[in-house]
Amino acid sequence: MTRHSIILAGLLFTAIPGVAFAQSYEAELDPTPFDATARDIVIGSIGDVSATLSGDTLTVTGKFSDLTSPASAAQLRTGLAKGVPGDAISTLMVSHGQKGTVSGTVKLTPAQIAALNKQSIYVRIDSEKAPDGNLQGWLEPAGERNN
Amino acid sequence: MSARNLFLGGSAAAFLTIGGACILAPFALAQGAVAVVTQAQVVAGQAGYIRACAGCHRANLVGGGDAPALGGAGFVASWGNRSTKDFYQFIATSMPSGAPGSLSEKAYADITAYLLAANGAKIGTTPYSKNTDVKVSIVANGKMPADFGKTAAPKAGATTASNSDIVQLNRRTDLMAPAFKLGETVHGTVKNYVDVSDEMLRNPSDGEWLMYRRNYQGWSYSPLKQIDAGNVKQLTLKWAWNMNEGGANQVTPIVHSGVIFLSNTSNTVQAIDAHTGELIWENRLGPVSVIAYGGTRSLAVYHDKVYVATTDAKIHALDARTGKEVWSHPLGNPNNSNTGGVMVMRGKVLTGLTGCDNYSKNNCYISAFDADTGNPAWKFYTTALEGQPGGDTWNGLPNLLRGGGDTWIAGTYDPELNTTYWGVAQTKPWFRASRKTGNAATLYSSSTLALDPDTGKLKWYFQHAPGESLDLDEVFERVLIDHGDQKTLMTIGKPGLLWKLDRETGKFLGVKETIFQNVFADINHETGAVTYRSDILNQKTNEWLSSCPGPEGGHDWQATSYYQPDDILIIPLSQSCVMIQGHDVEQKLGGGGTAASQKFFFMPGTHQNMGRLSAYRTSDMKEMWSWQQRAPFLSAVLSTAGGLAFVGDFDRHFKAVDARTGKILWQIRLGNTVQGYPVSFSLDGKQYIAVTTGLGGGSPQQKPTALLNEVHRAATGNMLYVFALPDD
Repeated sequence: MTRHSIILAGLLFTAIPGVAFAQSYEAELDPTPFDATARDIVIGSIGDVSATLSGDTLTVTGKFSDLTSPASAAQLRTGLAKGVPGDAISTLMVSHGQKGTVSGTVKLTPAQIAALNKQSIYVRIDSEKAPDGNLQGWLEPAGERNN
Repeated sequence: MSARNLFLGGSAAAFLTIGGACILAPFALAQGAVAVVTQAQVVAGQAGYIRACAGCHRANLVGGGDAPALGGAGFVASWGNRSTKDFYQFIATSMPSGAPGSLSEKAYADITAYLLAANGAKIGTTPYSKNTDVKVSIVANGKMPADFGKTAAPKAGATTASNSDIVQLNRRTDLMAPAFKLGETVHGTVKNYVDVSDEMLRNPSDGEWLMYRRNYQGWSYSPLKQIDAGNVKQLTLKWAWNMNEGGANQVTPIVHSGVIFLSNTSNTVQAIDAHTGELIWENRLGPVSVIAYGGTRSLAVYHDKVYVATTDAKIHALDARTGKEVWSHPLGNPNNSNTGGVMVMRGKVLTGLTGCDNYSKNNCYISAFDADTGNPAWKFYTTALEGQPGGDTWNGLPNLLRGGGDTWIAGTYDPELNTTYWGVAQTKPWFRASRKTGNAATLYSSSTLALDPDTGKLKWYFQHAPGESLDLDEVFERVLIDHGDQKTLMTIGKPGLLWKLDRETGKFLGVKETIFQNVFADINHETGAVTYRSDILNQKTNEWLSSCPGPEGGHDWQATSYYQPDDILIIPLSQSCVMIQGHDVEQKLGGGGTAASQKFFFMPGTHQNMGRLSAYRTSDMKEMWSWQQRAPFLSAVLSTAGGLAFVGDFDRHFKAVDARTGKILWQIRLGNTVQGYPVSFSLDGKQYIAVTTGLGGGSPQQKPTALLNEVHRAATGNMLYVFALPDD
């Protein structure tokens, strides 16, 4: 995401109070950080999510597959920047299988919306074998991902 | 095995002798409370460790380069809260570097047992197995028993045959079985060799490749244009040459007088007839490679000699016609190494130094030697020392604790300004919290240096990343480009920031982000000052930090090419991230090291594409084209006047792209990872493209090996391939 588009996204949201622009986001879900002991648990798992911010409400939907153990939990999280892990904002609903869906509706604070526009918000899916994270993906404005 | 059984393991030990040497007593001094290993395992594990691990992690477990410490506080920080089963699994699935899983289950169990015992684990009668599952901190406290491990086990690379100059090639893995005799093994003479003059180095003929990046300016651009966009699909293999296995193959073929001068791993230099692929002479200087990274990236030719800096930190001058050694000189101490190679300018051979990660009385430097005699000319310390300019940027640390500042890429040279430009790597240990430098700049790490090649005097410096903390060094090629009267220097380091400096003054001219990065919260485009993310600035040891990109770079040693016709710099980029954790180190002689652990992950937003090839116009730093692919590029870029750029990747593809658009025009799949520095040359009016494949290396090999689950490579495959258009 370019600096200009980040600014634009922020302006669109803040310029007209009371008017709820729907802003679309998306993320690929990749394996969480691993070393050799966790590699075989998380490598190969994959997924993607899309999200829509309407007013202060973020709606997340997505799917995942190829986990080596059933999904056990999912959260919306925020860190200091894209790629930086951080604390959970809210839990999400997730299918308890090795493939399935993830979804949820979360009301964001202004600070969390700012974090979303900084691409610091991400989705994490946990699994039975990887309870501290199996898949992760940072939300970016739809259509602006790297080519 | 249950915890109860672990506690029931006996502590009584028996005496054991190998080769007449009593070895029990040192191991019996272990401090841990629980016995999970046996004496026999520790003995066997020590031998296995020395063979397979010590080349990288060092015999005393302190680590080095990309290899973390396996003993002491760093070990406990990494593994104390994890299980012995995890520790085994980590080793068995990822080690030895470059050949994971290549040892037997017993060998891995023995090595694990040895490492636990070296960290204080008590020795008993219950053998360690891959299923032994107990918290590491219960059995090991990180304190090596006094006199531990002083046994008769062989040293890394040690002789096993009766003839002292025959060693088993690459004992690190099982990659190569044949015995390997050092010395001048093939005798011959290069006929029609023409001595290389200063003028030839300043203005190389179109058909030759006389130095690392072909010209002093570091362009990697060939004026040859017989092979072009219209005929590149017809490229065919003319001949190929098997190179030494083991080590890291990251070589630049040097071409002169119809001969390819080729450095191989295990510090072997060869002269090969470029027409036929016939070996003319070979000098196996040694020592045999025992580590999986490093590499000898560049040779130099000047007058009647070939120059090579070897991985044991020596510089050698060989007779270019016969390969016989004319002179040699040590570069550093036994812990040092050289991988960047050499450059010759104004009658001097200049070279850098690596292996400066452990605390040593010998700080890192660039040095110069008289090309004819080998007499030392000057040294420039790349870690500013106490009392010297810049020496006050180390938070008061004594010289002994000023690690790093390695120079592992050869410099470039501006003959008009009589200035040579070098990049300096990061400070060691990697984390400022480990090395206790606070937020000090630690000059001259992560800097560009402008030196007088006659005296070694510093003309100016520019520090790109003061106090760098994440193994994101800025050591790579400095490319010299003129825009009218403006003389610029361009370089890109691991963070992926493309820098432009005035090379007369060092003044900052511009910076461009090429790939996603999250380590700098702010980059001042007026001054070039960077501000690290707040958690990086406030780091503590044993805490995980995110780094995008990670130590693979951004950009790494796979060098750029300046395609002069369009004023574009074509850059191989990599996209991966790490979580990285710095450890506490012992601040004493031999301590230090890189001192960090890593976890890998794909760079967000890249669709798991690790490779990116991009072109930037250097006048305004505008991106002209860019595309990404799954596999990262493990070769440098070569561009030619035929409008082509050649580059190779981890997954064995060697590609030619349209230099103006980036469109792929031709590709071929080679035997292994395309790794090294492709070159072009001509013989009798015919243009050739030469490229190497290779294994071994640090992060650029390790990250895709871990992340690209579907890529499978052979265990061997260091080769030289030479392509040309079909004969009429």
